[in-house]
This record gives sequence, C-alpha cells and structure tokens, in this order.
Amino acid sequence: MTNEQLAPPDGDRLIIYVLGSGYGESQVVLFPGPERRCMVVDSCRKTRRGKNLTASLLRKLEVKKIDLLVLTHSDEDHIGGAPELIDDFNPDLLWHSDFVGTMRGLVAKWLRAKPGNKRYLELQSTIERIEWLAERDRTDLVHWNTRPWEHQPSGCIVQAVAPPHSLSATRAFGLDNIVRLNETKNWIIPDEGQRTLNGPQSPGDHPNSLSIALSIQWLSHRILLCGDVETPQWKSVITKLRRGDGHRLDLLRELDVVKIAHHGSNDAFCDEAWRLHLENKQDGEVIVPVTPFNQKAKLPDDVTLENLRERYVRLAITTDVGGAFDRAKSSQWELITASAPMCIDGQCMVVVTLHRDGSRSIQATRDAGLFSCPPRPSPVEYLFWPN
Amino acid sequence: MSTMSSSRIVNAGWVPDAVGIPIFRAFGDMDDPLRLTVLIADCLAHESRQLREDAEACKQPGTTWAERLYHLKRILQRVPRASMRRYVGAIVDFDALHTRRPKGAKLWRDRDLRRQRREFFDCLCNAIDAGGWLVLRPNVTDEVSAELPDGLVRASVNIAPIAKKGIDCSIRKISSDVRPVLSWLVEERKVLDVEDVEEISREGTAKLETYILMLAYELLKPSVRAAGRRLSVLRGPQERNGSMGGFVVLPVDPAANTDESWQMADAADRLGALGVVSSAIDTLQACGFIQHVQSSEDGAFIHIPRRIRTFLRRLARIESPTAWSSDNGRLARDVLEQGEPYFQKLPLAAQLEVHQYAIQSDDVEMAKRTAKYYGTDLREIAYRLSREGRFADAANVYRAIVEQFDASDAYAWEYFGFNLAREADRRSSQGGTELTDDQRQQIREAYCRAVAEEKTDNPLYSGRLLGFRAQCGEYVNVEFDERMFSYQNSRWKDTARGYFARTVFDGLIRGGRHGERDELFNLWRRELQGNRFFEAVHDE
Repeated sequence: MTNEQLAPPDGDRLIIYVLGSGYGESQVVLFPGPERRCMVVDSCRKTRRGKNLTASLLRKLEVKKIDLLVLTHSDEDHIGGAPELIDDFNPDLLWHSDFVGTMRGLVAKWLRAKPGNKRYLELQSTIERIEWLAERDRTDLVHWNTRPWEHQPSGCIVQAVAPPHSLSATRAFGLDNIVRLNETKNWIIPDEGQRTLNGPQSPGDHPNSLSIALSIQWLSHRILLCGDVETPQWKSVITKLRRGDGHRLDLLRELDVVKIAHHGSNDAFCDEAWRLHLENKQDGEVIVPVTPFNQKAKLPDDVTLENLRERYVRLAITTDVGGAFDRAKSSQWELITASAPMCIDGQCMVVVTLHRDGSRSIQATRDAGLFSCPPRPSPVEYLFWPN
Repeated sequence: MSTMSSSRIVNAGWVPDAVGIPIFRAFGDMDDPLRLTVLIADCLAHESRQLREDAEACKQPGTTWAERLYHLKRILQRVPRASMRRYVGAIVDFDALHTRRPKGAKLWRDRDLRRQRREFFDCLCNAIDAGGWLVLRPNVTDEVSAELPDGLVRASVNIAPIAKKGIDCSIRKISSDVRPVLSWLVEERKVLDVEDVEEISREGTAKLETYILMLAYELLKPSVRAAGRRLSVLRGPQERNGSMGGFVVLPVDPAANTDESWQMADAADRLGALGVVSSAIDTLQACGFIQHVQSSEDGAFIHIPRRIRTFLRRLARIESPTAWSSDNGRLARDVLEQGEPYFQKLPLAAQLEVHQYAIQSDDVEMAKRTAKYYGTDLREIAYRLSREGRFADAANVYRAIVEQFDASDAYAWEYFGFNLAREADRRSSQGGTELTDDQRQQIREAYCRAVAEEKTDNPLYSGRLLGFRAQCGEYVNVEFDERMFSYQNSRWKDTARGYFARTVFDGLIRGGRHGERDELFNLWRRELQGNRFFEAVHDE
C-alpha cells in the first residue's frame, strides 16, 4: 500500500488510525484537507527493537507537525513514546490530565534511589518534554469541562468528556499523601504509600481514574476515543454531562466509532454508556476498534466480547495477542478478512475512514482482524433463541 | 483606666485590628513552642522587672523546657493587662500549634515532642481564656475549635474573601489561606465551577483544599512552580522592595536568553545572591499562592500562607533535598558573613529565622553557632544524619543538645545512646573492636537518662534500654515478662508490646543470645505473632 492510499490528500475524508500491537496504544486522526494536519491520542511505547509505531506511522504519512497531542493518562503503554513524538513532531498543543508538577518530584526521588532505572528515566524524559511545552503555554490540564479545541478549516471539534474533577481530586489527594510521607518520621507508614514513595509501586494510584476520553465531531460524524476510562468514571461522567439541559450528553450518543476503553477490560465496559452510544443506531453501524494489551493479559475480556456481540457492533481487533482472535471466535464473532488488507511494515492497526457524504469504511492491516457477529434474530426467531 | 477586654477570634490571616499590637505567628513547624516562647517572653516582659527576669530565663539556651514553660506561664499570668488599652498580642494561625499524630500510627518516638507542643498549646489556651488576646485562624480545624473557649468560638468572625456569591456556601469551611486560590481557579481561569467545588467538598474539606492547591500549581508554568518551591523557605511576611526575604528580585528572567537577561544573571551571580524573577512573584500573587498581609503599621507585606507554604515545601524537599538545604544554607550564610555584631543586632524574630535556615541547611556548625536561645531544633539535623547512617555525627549533635542546651530532653538522650550503640555495632561488624566498658557505660547512661526524663513509660525507650542490657549479657527475661504483662492494660496494648518486644529481641540478637530470644518469643507467641508493630519495626 502506498503512502497516497494511506492518506488521500483531499478534503472529503477524515481518517482514524487505531494502533495497538501489544506495545501500547495510540490513535492518529488525520484531518480532512491536503495539509496532512493531525491529532494524536497517546503514543504507544517502544517495541523491543526500540521503534515507536506512532512515530513510524506519522513519518509514513509524511506528517511534519502534530496539531494536538493528547496523553490520556500516565500509564506507560499510553505515554511511552511521547518524548519522540514531542521531539520530532513539535506539537502545537498538548493535552494531559495528570499532575506532572507533582509527579516530577516523585520521579526525582525514585531516580535518586535508583539512578539508572529505565522506567524512571523514561518518565523523567516525558515530564521534561511536557514541561518544556508548558513553559511555552502549549499545554493544557484537561478535564470534562475544558474548552473544546477546533481544527480549522475542517471544522472538526475535539472535546474532552472525562476525567471529572471529583476523580481528579481523589488522585490529587492520594499523591499529596504520598509526598507528605516523605517528611513523616514514621517507621510504620502504609505499605502502598511507602512502595509508591520509594519507587517499586507503579507511579501513582490508578491513573486510569484520570484518563481523558475524547469526543470528535466532524459534520454528522461522531467519534469517541475512550482512553482507559473505567466504569465508575463513566458513571460520574454521565452524571456531569446531564447537568443543565443535558445537551452535552449528546457527545456520547449516535456514535460512528468508539475506540473501546482500557483494551476492552470488563471493568471498562459500562452498560449505561453503551446504551447511549447505540441510541438510534442500526445493527453494525457502530465501529468498535479494540487494542489488546499484551501476550499475558487476556484482553479484550471475554465478558466484554460477549457484551459487544449482544449489541451488534462491528468489532475490529488491532492485533492477535493474548489469544484475542480465538476468544472473539469463542464468543461467536466471525473473523472476516478485510477485502484489501493493508501492508504497512510491522504495524498492527485498524483504519476507519469517514466520508463527507456520511459513509464510512474500515480496513485492517494483515495482523489485525475485522469481525462480524451473527445477524440479530427476528422477533419470531427470538422466541426460540438461543436454542 | 480601661479594663482588659476578653479575647477575640477571627477566622482569617490578618485583620486591621492586629495593626499596632505584637504579632506572634505559628508556622506549624517543630520550632513553634520554643520560638514563640522566646518571642512572647521578649516582647511582653518589658513591663516590669519581675517579668524581665522571667523573660531572661526563657531566653537562656540552657533552660530546660519545663523551666521555660514555668516562666512563660508566669509572664502570661502577670502581664499587666489593666494598663493595656488593646490586646496583649495577636496569635496568627493558632491551629498550627495543635498536636496531630500522623494518621494510623501510635508512635512512641516523637512523644515528648508532641508533649512539648501540647503543653505550649494548653498554656496559650489558658492565656486566651483569661482574655486580652486576638486569635487569628486562617486554617480553622475542628480539633482546635473544640479546645478553645466555647463562647469565643461561637462569637468568632468569619471573613471569606471571595467575590462569587454562588460559591460562598460550599467554601465556608475552606481555610482563608486557600480561598484566594479557589477564587483564581473559579473566576479567573474558569477551570472549576461551583458544582464541581460542591461535589468535591462533600468528600471533605481537606480533599478539596489539596485539590485546589494541586490544580492551581499544575496550571502554573514550570518556572513559576520552581520559584514557588524556592520561596517556600521563607516563613513570615516579607517586604517586597528589590528583594523578598533573602532573595534578590530579578526584573528579567536570566533564562530568557537576551542581552538584558545575561547581564542580570551575571550581576546576580557576582552578588552571590539567590534570585527569583519578578514576573514569577507576580504570577504567584495573582493565583493566590503569595498573599498580602498587614504585619505592622509600616506597610503592606506579602507572604506565602502556611497551608500553601507547607504544600510547596513538601514538593521542594521531595524533588531536591540538596537544593532545599543549599538555599537555606545560603540564606543563613548571607547574614552570618556580615559578622557577629550584625547578627546580634537583628530583631529577635529575624535571628530565630536565621537559626531555622541553618537547621534546614543541615550545617551542624552553623546551626550551633546560630542557636542563641535554644538548641532543640538540632534534633532535625541529628535525625537526618542518623537516617543516613552517620551515627557518630548524629551522636555528637545529640550530645551537644543535652550538654549545651536542654539537659532534660528525653528524646535527645535516647538517640544519643541509640546512635552511639549503632556506631559501635557498625565498627564491630567491620572487624573493629568490641564495645569498651566506657562506651557501654555511656550508652547505658544515655538510655537510662532518656527513660528517667520521659515523664511516663515509653515502651520504645524501655525496650531499647532492656535490649542493650541484654546485648551486654544481662539476664532480662523476668523484667521482659513483667513489662509485657504491664502493657496488658495499656490503651495501645499491641503497639506497646510490639515496640517493646522488638527492641528487646534486637538487643538479644545483637548479643548473640538467640536461644533466649526464641524462648521469650515462644512464651509470648500469641501476643506477638501477627502484631504488625512487632513485625514491621526493626531497631535499625
């Protein structure tokens, strides 16, 4: 597949590349127009060969500059490649949700204890880049009520729907307690706090609660990129979007594409949210890309696969790691090879194209899988279902 | 002749009523009791010869805490109130003096420090009850409200400096230190709305306040955050007049990479001064991290309120303890390099701040040199030295505390002995000589003195003493059993047994008496197994 096919230079289509090869996840949204302007959500992490797949794709797409880079939350599989993206594609604006200024202090402490630790060095490197942009007023700490960002001239509107402030406050309180422990002359301090203060615990307490979820609107198309938002957060988000006349709840309704949250874990599948997503939608109209986590994790979860099948969406799994394809088949999903599988070296991704006339198409690389589910039974058949 | 009015409480950082009367500020730091004792004594004692004698006793470096407290009480009782037209003085941030035990921990190690704080707090509460004090509470806590005279608390005046009316209800409990920051977030930056604030406040004021500070901090540029962290070394109000505290205010950022900025950086470097960029101070003021305060009739001053300073200081210390101590050292040296006469002529409060800088700089000699009135804060340096494994240095500092300052300091005696013992262990494990009789005697005396000076039984101190005796070969099993039985009725039964048994067992192991240790453990297995204090604590 040539570069031209990858990104047709016209103003009639918006393309979403959902990357997920078991080395983190990322979504690249190529805005309509010949300038190859884009936003990038998350940054994957480096492969064993030290390659960042998001950066490779951007180079292949001949993107020179990122308009908006969104780091949904501070888990390694989402921010691992951020330094490279910032260095090479100089984003105009960066959205993040974590407490970078506070994390900076903790990471400095961890590094004093273990100067060569690769993970801490990566974190420090990411924080330094974010701060470099922050010093130039090119960052924003994002919450559900942050002012939307608009891409001109396409008129594409990007809006955060999560995290809510209440969960952000919980995270802030947790981090502050850990920083406080540094000054406490205690022998006995809470185990988790001590592990986080001194390093071995993964940074912070559950950064998923801070994950950004994004709504993108272009013409009549609506896309939801869910980061790692989990069920309690969804419930809080829905309550907040209902405030006032509730018009912001429309951001979760009548969607064309939902990048499913948290690699399709059971914890991230919120029934209430999905009821909204599928309102007024016909079978198979909603495209649901999902990015498996790694070989060990059984993600997407079996229950999520079942839940999705019952909702008659179009499933696209970016790679077959952790037995994802087999488990989808066990949940009665049918693997259909895309009519023209793309061949982009080493990339595992799903490409969704939204057209000006309201139509959509979906393609997958050779390692990714597109799935269909059996047709919804007619009312008569339903009487006998599932026998 | 007017009679003395009753005390008055205002829930704010400062009020015009405070102008013209002596102001005493609590910082929530370890030095509060001694620093304020010295300042109150010095300020109120010029009324009569008898008070002057009490004040002198309060200011002598060798006076014990008990003696100081006695003299302070006399001063507070005898200050000639009837002759005063207004308040005796104002205590700012009274809530910072309250003793709080770290959450979830029933610790024995800092008990005498907390007792000292408690005694000072009670002493001031009595004085307030007697009348004549203006009590300013920018950070109102329920614990302190419960201890102040009920009538005064009910009559206290609230000041809520926030313009937006809709948010008033939800912030009623937010400290006045934090309100300007909330105002900035809601009205200026518009990142928080009233409903968000109310939702978070339902989960607790502490959580809301922390979030307000952290959110505001994250919204600042990194260079402004860095300036805030640096300025958090300054405690009281500061005049901004080409400098702020010991910091030179630079009109241009040296990092801006312009001709002017280079000249500025060069000039600041030649002056050897700590610099902070003017625009950073402006931003910190705009967001409420730095606030105006009227500290005297001379004019307006600015300061970082305690709640915000604590927040910034923690971040500064976790990120770079060396930068923190270096900045403090620089501030102390800037004064001391101008000579002893200059230091002596400084106002008393300024001298005490220099001592605090020296303490925070970890420079033992400078800290000793500036300890003109008390030396208890040297514990902080000694503690850090001990944690770094520099036991001999730590022991020397503790020795200085008990020999030159407060001979009744149980904590210093305890850790004098402890660090001597650890140093001896370290040498022995490195193939050096075993404990000499003199060393044994010295350690034992220090431990005994700690137990004697501690007014009530401290299982940690008792355990260490018994453990050391066991290490030296004494038979301690009977005493061990007696103590363990006695803790049966203790309020903190598990904690006491855990600390006591662990320290005794560590002593037995150091003495190579594993059999006796096992024997005792088997006897007390039921009480000790699963005791998290016993399992978690190691006397290292």
